[in-house]
Amino acid sequence: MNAKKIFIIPALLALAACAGSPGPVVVPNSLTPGAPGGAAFGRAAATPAVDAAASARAVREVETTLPSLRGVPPGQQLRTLRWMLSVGDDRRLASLFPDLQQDTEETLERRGATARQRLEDLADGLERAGHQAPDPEDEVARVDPDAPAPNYFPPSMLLDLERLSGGDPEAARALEEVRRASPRGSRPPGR
Amino acid sequence: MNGPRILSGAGRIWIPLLALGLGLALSASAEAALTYSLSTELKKANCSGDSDSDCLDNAEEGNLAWAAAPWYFYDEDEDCSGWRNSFGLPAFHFARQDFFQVRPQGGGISNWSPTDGQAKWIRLSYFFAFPHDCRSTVGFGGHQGDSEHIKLELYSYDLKTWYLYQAYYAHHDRDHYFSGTYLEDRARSLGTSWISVAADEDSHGSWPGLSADSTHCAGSEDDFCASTCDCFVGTWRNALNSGSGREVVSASRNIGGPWPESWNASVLSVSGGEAWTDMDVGHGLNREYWTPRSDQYQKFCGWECPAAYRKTDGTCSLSVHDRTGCSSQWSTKVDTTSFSLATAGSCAGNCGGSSGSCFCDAACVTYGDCCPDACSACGAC
Repeated sequence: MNAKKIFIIPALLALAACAGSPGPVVVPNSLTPGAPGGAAFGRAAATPAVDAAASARAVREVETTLPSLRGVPPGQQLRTLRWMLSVGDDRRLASLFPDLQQDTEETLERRGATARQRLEDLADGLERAGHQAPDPEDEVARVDPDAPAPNYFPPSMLLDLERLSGGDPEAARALEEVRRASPRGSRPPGR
Repeated sequence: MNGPRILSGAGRIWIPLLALGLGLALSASAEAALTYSLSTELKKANCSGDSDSDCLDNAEEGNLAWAAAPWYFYDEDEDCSGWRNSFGLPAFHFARQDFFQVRPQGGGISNWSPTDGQAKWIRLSYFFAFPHDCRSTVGFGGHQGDSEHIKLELYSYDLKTWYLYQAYYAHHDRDHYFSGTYLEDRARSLGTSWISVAADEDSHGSWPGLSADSTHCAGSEDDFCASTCDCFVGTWRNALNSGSGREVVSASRNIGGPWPESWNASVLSVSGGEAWTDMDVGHGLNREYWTPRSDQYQKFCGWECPAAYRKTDGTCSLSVHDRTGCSSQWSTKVDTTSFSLATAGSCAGNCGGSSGSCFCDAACVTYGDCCPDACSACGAC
């Protein structure tokens, strides 16, 4: 009985110490964006040579279709395309393409399917040219049931909530949280 | 065996207290949140990828804006949008024009690191620029132009995973605050991972929705219409699933922003500190400004009013779709919150507020958190 309690107390203390830590454990990302890597890659283990001409064509196609990826290195373009394709709801993909976004004749579901095909074609073009990218680590969007609370709030947020909190109970509650985590006069953690 | 005996007695008191403390600590340190993950960090070493002077990678700004882009809903009486119009005109006459802005919050942005253990903040604004508002309710007449917006505040530790903390929904020139918890709860009950923006009852504003199986725009916040306002075709859930009046906000046009950011010249026209957008929505190529104006461009006329017809008060002498009035100035919707790439910013232009990680108000003297120039710039000594 006593021995069990000896075990329980350190365990609780260890858990309590974790609960009071400032933020989540951060594992540095050892992959350079777009660079070929090792175990994290979901595709070919060997790095094929890049076909310069095919790469230029594939990059041009990506930049024409998705102007937001102009000037982005091809490996990073591929990584971004794979990330986009990991979205859990294809209807979201249609908004990447102005023509699909504006097409009110077709259902959003159909437009989403068309968008997925376009993104896959772009990604395939880059891969055929010899580029590689790691598979996405996380879904684009999700509900995280255990999101770590913020351990710091910037001064501008404090002042905004002070202005709003007079007539807004929700904002007043948020202000309390901001003052608790980042009291005036304290330095940001890690600084 | 003294130890165990002592602990045995004290344990009866401490174990429940520790458990209570642990429970409280855990409940305060983790909550469900709408979460958006990028494929690489939003802020990279040496500010690489930044082209609007905020040290954030522009490609990832766009990716985050797309990842978090809200659903957009119209009311069944909507007759003034790209979804539907009652004039029998092509959709582009009334189509909502979406823009966005990503602005870091606080100071020391250039030192942000995925391993510094500090929550880093950004404000993500979505602008919904309508060419026209057709409302005809007494006291709420429609007008040319209708500039709506919402602002989301998100934080991250590793610069790749961003949690929605809160949002401001603006409607009829008023902001309402909604917590991330409120928004997450509604999204989850709808079975989605995105927030919603509901336009309004027969008009354009920005509302977060009340509950999945109701048609209300919000809770007490829209009581001005005595609970008669509805924002969805049927219920919110029905509108999301059936697709009637439902769209996804576009995140293809990043405006950059005013100092210390710079305006994005690949999306807007920029010259001499001014930024504007020219557009033809069926009334010729007309202009609306993102920067503050005190002349005939001081209101937002939705690109419906040609320059020759703009009056000195910003309204239009030409009636377009039966309206001559225009909506409030676009520049007031832009996020101008001060931030600093260095840890401490400058109080110049920020008196009474903050800059970076420090303050420029009178109270900073008491708290000892004044910016270095708070005394010289603002008299906070």
